[in-house]
Amino acid sequence: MKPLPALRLLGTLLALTCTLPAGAQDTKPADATAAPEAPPKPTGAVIPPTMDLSRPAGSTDEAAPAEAPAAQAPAAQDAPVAPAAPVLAAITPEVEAPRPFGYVIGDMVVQRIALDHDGARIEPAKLPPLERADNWFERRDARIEQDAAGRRWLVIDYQIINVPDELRALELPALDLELTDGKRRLQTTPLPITVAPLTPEVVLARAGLEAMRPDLPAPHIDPAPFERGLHAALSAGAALVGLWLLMALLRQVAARRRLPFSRAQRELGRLDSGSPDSWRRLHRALDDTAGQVVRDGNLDVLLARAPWLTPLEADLRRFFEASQARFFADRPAGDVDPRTLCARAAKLERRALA
Amino acid sequence: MRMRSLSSLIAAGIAVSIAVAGWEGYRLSSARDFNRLVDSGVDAAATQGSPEAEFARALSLAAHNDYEGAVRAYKELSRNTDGPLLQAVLYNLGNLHLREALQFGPESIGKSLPLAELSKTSYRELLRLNPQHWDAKYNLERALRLAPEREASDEEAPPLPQNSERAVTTMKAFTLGLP
Repeated sequence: MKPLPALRLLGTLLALTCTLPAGAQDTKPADATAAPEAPPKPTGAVIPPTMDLSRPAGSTDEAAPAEAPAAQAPAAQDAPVAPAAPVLAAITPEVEAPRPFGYVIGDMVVQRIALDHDGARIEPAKLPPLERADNWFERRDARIEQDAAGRRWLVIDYQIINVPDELRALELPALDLELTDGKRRLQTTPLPITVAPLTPEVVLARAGLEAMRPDLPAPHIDPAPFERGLHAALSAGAALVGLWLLMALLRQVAARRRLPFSRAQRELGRLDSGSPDSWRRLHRALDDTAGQVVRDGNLDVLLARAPWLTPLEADLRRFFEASQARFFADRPAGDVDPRTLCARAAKLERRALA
Repeated sequence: MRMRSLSSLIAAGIAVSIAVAGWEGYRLSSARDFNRLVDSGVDAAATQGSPEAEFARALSLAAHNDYEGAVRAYKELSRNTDGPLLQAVLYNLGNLHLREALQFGPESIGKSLPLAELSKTSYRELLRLNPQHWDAKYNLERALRLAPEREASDEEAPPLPQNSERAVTTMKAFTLGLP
């Protein structure tokens, strides 16, 4: 029983130690969840803003005490005078704290810091570096955003990259950034969040809870993009075929109205095959095609101008002979039919020109 | 003549769309063939030529305990892929290292530690791309159990009670208030 008083003393000392104000690294989760709406209180080492005790309490923009170095000067009169580093006023801006509990490894924690102070815009000289911030967090991204109300925020994404052995309150690192005016600094305090492990120290070795999660299987190739490509190509092809057919139809219609033999063919359909008008109409189509009056003697001029009529050369010669006989010798035209000859010429004409 | 040129242009478009349809049809057919091979067995799928087939090849090498070959295959893939396939590559690469590390275990920490560090790097790279990858979170934590990254203060001194509740209520051999 001798060691008992010593143990009791040790226990009392420990209890006293643990009831001291927060300053330890860990904070109970219950403390963190007690007032999630309120800005979290610093629980660890805080980068203190330079205090000016002459200013009212609660002021966040505190000028550096200019008298402090002077007060210490007599004590250091004999010491060599080092160039004084510029002391910058500290600004503690409004911080939108992230949810303070319920995090596991890999989670992202987003911290938003208002970039204004006393109604004036403030601008950090540079964004905090993207690097491992401490043993637990890595700064993944830092950017300046503007919300719907036009207020500007410095948004910092942290990722939890390490995990404690048991549920523990960790501190999101404090920030200390110089502002662009070169006279002030933007400072934030550490923010506690609770982080818990996903796995026990000793694995259960039951389904899904083994020493490690298994490999991913070879992925399937997603056929959807190829199906979409195939459908798009086929649809485009079908649309183009339809357009091409429409164009061909329009070309035929236009040709029947525009080309000499096609126009003549349509008019000949309304005339008697043996009538003089039908012979004259074919003559006119031949003249229009050649651009001059065509006779048996200058048929070559027509064929040079409209080479697609070459297959009909013999028929055309017969037509001119029959026409000569019919109109000037008053003889029958034989088996020459202007309507048939015109139809054949129109077909060749459309094939060549439509 | 303008209509004739336009028709020729449309005809050329038809030819191009037929060619594209043929190419897409070929790729669709190849993808379906590959998926059938994957369903039938990884080794068969590894004979194809796509990045997914390279993944299957790496998986096959790992299954045949060819650690070096599998690492090379995954590394090559990680340089040439992106999106979900890159995430799968990083995850399996981390698994490859962690599995080797676990084989050595904490008893051979000199051999297992570098492998655990490699696995942590892969998992962290993956979680940077996709913080919701739960298997990667699980395995990163297992790697950290094997090779913990403790705070400097933890390393220097034995852990002290960090808050009053733990210290008072959970310390063994202490019953406060009793002699």
